[in-house]
Amino acid sequence: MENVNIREIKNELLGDSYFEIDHKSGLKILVYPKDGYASTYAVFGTNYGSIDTFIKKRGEDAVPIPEGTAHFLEHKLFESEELDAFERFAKTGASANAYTSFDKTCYLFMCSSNFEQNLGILLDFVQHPYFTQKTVEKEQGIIGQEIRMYQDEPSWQVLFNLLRCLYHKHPVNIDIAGTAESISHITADMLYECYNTFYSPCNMVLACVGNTTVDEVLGVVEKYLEPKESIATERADYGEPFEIVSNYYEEKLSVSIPLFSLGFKEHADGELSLKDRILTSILLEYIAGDTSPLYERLFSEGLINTSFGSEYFMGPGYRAVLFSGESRDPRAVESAIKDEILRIKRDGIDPEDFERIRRMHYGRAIMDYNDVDGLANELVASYFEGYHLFDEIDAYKTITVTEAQTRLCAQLDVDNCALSVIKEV
Amino acid sequence: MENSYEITQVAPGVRIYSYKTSRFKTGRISFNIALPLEKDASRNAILPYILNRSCRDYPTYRELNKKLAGLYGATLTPSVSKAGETHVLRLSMTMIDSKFALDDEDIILSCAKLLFDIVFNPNTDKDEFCEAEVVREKQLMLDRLESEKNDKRVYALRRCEQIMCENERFSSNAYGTTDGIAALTPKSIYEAYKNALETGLISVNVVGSANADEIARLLGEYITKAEINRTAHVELHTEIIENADEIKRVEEELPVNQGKLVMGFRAGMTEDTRESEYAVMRVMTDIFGGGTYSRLFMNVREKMSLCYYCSARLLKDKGIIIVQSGIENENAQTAEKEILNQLESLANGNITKEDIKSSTLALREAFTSLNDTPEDIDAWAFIQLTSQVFETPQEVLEKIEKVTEEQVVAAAKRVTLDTVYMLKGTQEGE
Repeated sequence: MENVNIREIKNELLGDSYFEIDHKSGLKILVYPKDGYASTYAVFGTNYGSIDTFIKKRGEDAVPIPEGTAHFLEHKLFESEELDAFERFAKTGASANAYTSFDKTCYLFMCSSNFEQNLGILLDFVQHPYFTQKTVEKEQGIIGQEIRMYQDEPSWQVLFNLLRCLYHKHPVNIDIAGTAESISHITADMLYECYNTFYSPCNMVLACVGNTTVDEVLGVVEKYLEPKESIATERADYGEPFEIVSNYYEEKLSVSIPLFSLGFKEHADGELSLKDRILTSILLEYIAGDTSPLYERLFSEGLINTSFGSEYFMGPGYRAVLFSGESRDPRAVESAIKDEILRIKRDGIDPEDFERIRRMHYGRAIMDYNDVDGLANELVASYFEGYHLFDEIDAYKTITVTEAQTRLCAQLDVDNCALSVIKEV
Repeated sequence: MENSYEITQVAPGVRIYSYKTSRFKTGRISFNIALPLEKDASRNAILPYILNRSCRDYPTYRELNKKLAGLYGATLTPSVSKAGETHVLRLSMTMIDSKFALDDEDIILSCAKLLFDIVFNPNTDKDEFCEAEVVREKQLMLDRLESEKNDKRVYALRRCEQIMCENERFSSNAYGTTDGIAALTPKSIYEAYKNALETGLISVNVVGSANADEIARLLGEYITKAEINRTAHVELHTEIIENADEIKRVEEELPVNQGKLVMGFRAGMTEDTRESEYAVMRVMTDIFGGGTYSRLFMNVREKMSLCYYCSARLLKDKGIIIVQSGIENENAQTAEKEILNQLESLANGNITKEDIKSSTLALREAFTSLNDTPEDIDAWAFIQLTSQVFETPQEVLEKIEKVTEEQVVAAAKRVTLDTVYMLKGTQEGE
């Protein structure tokens, strides 16, 4: 192929390879063939999500857009003047879908036959927006119901209440779909403006995993990818301070057991290295995983149940460690977690336990290399986050207990955390 | 043989379903026990959860989890479910393929041993489970039962099932009941455990590079050593009601934002035709409310803009079809009317070759991709557990692809509305 630069990225341990292609249009293409698989999963994504509440072209002023626009646009791209995308996929049998997260919007399909035809449809519909005031109004009804559905999901509400406690200005504190009020301001013109800004090839990536080849993917891309002006955009600086907003929020919903989410906010400036991310995930297992003394104690005292878990919640401009679950006494769980963090910071990390957890995470990382859907989505995420897919598995080999200790001291500030609770009505 | 299902009989009513393949990075083993769904399912429901906590060699949950972490983070997951009026108890494990072990350990075999230890050598004192573990697990079972209420979609579905099948065993919750769980004792759970191992229909599903013969031999040894007396398994039977007589209507209120409409239909199947009619009913349900090409998606959502989701699902073992939608209270009647209109339209022969094609193509995709994860291969063997004859996804697909328009119309004609359940939200909108 002309004008394309293809690099093979291999991993000896896994015995797998994927290919990274810089297309002349500016589009990044990632192809991961999997032997013996019947299906192929393709994701076409743009680096534009719910936290992009401003259009900011390089060198220009930021222009605000309504909350929930990225998600609204995701719904509307499936429509067309003729056959909509769902109708076109119905003729091939592929199952198609899309999702919007805080920082990206992705369109995808999975199929085990007619791959080239399906990829053509995916590229075609994402490149051809069609919005009218009438179709925008129709979607306000559907998305309005989607928002209402999430308002009744306690696990969703407990998270967003927490994020509003942690973040003053960063739009990670708003619901991905926006509100009934905010989406009522969305117009067809606004959708075109966002589309033209954020859906340019240099802001996008295409990942295909499974029963396919580089030649097959590039053949379809050559045929369907249309030249388009690349617009450089920047994420706004949200001016988010380190300090939290408030340390407690409680809401009453129809639940049987109270839900809680405890978040430790961190500085989010500068690059976050993959190594630090991995160290944090090991630390979370060490502090509160199901092999930890804290988990055993809380569990046997009936303070937590099997819904308890932790995660490192981060993205552009936000980083926090979250502990969530159901408990009849969230305050007691909060204080036990804080005490345990202080104890480990003081006493240090046990090397034998560290080794066991490292081995566990190494195994779990390998397990992620089975599913075509998980891999395709992970290829997209790792590209936008600036690392290679296989970097993670390699990083597990080199981390040390000393690094974990240093990392622990740099995060989990017990004076900068908030608790969100959902209680029964 | 590589890449196909094989079935090995280990003891009466105990089988190994294996699928040998080298294309995955992981292996999968599950232990499944099928029992009649009891009116109060509590005593059986607690079994996989309490077994999952410990065993003789690893007597605390933490010790057991440390062992799993040492096995490269192998996962162990308990679950219970209903297949018609059969109660299925399940413990499943996913682990890395042995070739990734850092010290040549046969990880899959080690996991199989651990799983069999958990099932056959529990942390018991003579004929009783450990008191402290029982107390804790009973609370966790109550939490599981209660937690279903947090998800209003699940809650509304359970209520519809209970109302619709009030006089059938199917109305039982797979987790049991509040009173039933409270009444469990270390001794009664042990009796249920013994009974499950002696009379349940058991399958062990093995997917990956493992040597299934070795696992079969190991399982035989465990059964012998544990002095499990296997003769024949208990009879598993599901009552199927062919048609609804009068429509039951129940409306309830909860302080939530969005209303939930659940409609239960009798699919016109019988105990004799349940397996032979499956392909036709599956295609009919799919055209009615399956994918984005379905009547419910195209009309109730896309055309009328009434909801975010509206879909239909066939519960093949019970011969019922459930339609679910999340809507505003005031739209309940409009939505119900449109759902029934769409069904009637199918029954009136309003169907094209294109409809059949969209549906069979989508189902072809779904069935073909079933061999692409160890979990799906295991799940396929799992849903076949109570079938008379084991069929591969390919064999079922062949039947689906033979379904005609006339058959779909005839199937739609046989569907009758049994129950309409509406959960009204009483929370004021913002």
